[in-house]
Amino acid sequence: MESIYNKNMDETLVKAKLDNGLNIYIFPKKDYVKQYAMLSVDFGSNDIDFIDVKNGRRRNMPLGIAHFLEHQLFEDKEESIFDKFADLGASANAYTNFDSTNYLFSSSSNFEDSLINLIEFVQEPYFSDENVKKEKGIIVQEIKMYQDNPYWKSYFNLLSALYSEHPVKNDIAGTEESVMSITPEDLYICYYNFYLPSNMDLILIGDLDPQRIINLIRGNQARKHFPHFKNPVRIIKEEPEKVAKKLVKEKMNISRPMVQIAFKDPVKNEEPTQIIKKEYIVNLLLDIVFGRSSKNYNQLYDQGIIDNSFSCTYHKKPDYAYVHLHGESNKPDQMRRKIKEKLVDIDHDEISENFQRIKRKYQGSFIRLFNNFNHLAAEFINYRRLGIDIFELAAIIENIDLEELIAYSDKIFNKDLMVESIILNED
Amino acid sequence: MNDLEFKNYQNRFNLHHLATDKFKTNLIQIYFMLPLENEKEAVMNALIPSVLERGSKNYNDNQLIKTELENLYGSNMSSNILKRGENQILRFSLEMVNEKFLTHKSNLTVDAFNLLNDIIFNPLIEKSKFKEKYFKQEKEILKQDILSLINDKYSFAVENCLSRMCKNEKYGIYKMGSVSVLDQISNQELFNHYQKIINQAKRSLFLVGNFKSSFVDNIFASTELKAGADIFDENTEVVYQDKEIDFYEQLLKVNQARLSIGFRTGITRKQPDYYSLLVFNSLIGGSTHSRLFQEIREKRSLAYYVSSSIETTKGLLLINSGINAENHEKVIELVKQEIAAVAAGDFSEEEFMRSKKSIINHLKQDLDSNKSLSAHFLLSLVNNKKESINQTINGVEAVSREDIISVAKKLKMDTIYLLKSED
Repeated sequence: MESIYNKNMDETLVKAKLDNGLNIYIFPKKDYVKQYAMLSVDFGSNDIDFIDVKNGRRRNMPLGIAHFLEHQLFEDKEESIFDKFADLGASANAYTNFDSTNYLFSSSSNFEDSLINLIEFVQEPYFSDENVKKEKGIIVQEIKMYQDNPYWKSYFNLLSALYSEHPVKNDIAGTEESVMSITPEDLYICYYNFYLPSNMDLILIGDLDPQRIINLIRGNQARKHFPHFKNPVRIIKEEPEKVAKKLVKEKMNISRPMVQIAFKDPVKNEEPTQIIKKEYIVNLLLDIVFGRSSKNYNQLYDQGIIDNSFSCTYHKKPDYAYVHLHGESNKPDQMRRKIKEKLVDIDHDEISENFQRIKRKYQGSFIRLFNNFNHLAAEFINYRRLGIDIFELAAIIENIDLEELIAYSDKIFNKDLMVESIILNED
Repeated sequence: MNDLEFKNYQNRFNLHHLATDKFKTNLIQIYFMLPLENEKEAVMNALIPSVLERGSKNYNDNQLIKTELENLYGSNMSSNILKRGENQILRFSLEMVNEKFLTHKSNLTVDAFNLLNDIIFNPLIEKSKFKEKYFKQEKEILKQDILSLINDKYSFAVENCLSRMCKNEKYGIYKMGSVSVLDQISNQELFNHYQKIINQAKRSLFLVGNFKSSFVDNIFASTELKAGADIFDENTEVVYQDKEIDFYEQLLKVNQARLSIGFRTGITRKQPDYYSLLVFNSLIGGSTHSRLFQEIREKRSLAYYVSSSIETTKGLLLINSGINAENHEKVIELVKQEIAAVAAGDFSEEEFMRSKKSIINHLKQDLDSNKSLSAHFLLSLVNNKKESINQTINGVEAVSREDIISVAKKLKMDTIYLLKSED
């Protein structure tokens, strides 16, 4: 057990690794009533192609299988998992994203029993023909719900334009067709490949006694047998540098057109710290050139081309990265043209003038992160998977250099790697 | 357990201060209460904060405001229009990090509060009106905001159900008013309305966090917020009567049909059976352990989401679900069947206890969030029944099975709304 105290934040992080490889991270929060636990499995919607640890065979899974597995683990032979938590006064939930599946609960009493519940239901799969069939109906409704969401629709249109091979182009829940094809056997294969303790992290936040909690988990895990598998090898097909499509258009019943623009940023092999640092650098840069206080944003707002539905972010992962700008506009063509114009010609002086202030904003948002347990856990695991503890972010932000922003400003908005996704009103 | 409570400060009855060093940030909120009268006033109320946020006397455009907020370590300033009962509530919210976590010395709270005050009380005036350009632009943006409801089919169904159900009541007015009256509003009219709000509307000031006493002690010297009545509701008409159930169908090209069913509970926060209603709502559709979630989703996989929610100033309960259109009759039948089962006392002791524990768990967690603490307190002020979260928990603890049965019996189905595809 290792304990790290951060004096500036007045926060402590306790870390432990069990013999079976399970990582435990605890943020003790004195005087808080809420207790929060998240068991994060390093298995997301992108992990559909891998070498089976049992027999070395290559597996190509139906799209949406990680999300389906998340739903399915809530099925138990006798009692509803939700009810088990509810009996303890805790409330359970889960979510799947591109690179992880996360099971969580929040409670204000009975934390230890709830925690054991969480570990037990994730570590005890039960997939039958009957409950898999039942879950399909529910997930198809979930997919249909997202299909009516114009932001979601145009976001995935955008990703499918950016990427021709990388699985991030696929909807997290899969398609109606892929979901209907999933079998209990598929689920078991994914389960024994990815749901190993060594492929999981447990994040606990609240007014907790770390030593006692770690002993409790250790005792629980010691009673279980896990096969001595290595973690599976994922296959990500090589993604060409160029984009798949330049433009995707679709029509929906919406109030006004929606425009999403992305610049693909081809990835190289980079150090984790470098990945995170670059994420911050480009986001700072975006804030300077298109954030709420920027000249560009305010000019286009004034001209009625964009409004506060507009936002921009840089997404950076080890295996893919892109700049993402989006907003609603009644002048979609002008919006597209203006954004292109502004980004190809960035004024270096503007970056220098605004750099310190925007950096300060990021320092503030780092402090805020510790206010909200759910947010803290999600961000913590995001950075942990890259090999960085969240306290280290403060120094990463502090050490960002103006020159680095300027250097990226000339490279990252490459017109040839730009794609657009437009949703127009149904006539 | 923590007893985080808002206290009246200095006998200024509209300053509510919750002192705690639990959070990394400090929160300041200024509220104005605006009775829902007609669509025109409603849309003016919604327009005012947007025009104010464009620029003030000392920060005369949005770029300056946003620049200043970033200088203040990314302080957040926002305004919202809420609807509680038959009132709009205009909320200005300011949240900044607590100075003690900064390595550089800073007067963050004071500086940010000055900015907020300038925006609310010192608007940029030209010819005794708002700056014409800001007025015109924000009018267009508000129009787009109101129209964009259709982009979110969940809220679209909810609002369409409520506006039909309450078509003869003030509650039927959308929280941001309506586009059809927006064009009639002149800048002068809007400015006069703004002055009326600043001078006459009920208002409250909330502080949550670890403020220096020098700041709190002098707060009324540093704001132009005038003394006035604290916010509380005197406007809402609670409708509760027997009637035929109305059924509305709206056609639109959608992948998923949306069903919203509106009920009258006749129960508001002021009444003793408010706590019973909380438990009933949890049991019927408030969470994953609820009857509707179990029957409609888990047993029959008819939906991904099905849930119930309550409005406790007006006395409404709403059940929402996304389904295949051809199943809507089946789902309505199941809703009726589950409510009837609860009314007949056909629910287990476990279900009863789960429902209570679930509410208590959520209420306790509200103690850990500055915004939840303030949202809880706001509702108790609006309903003129000040109580701490712990008092609400005590009320929930005391609810009996019979109380829940009696709420289920009181429920009156009023309106069914179905959004589905043309074909």
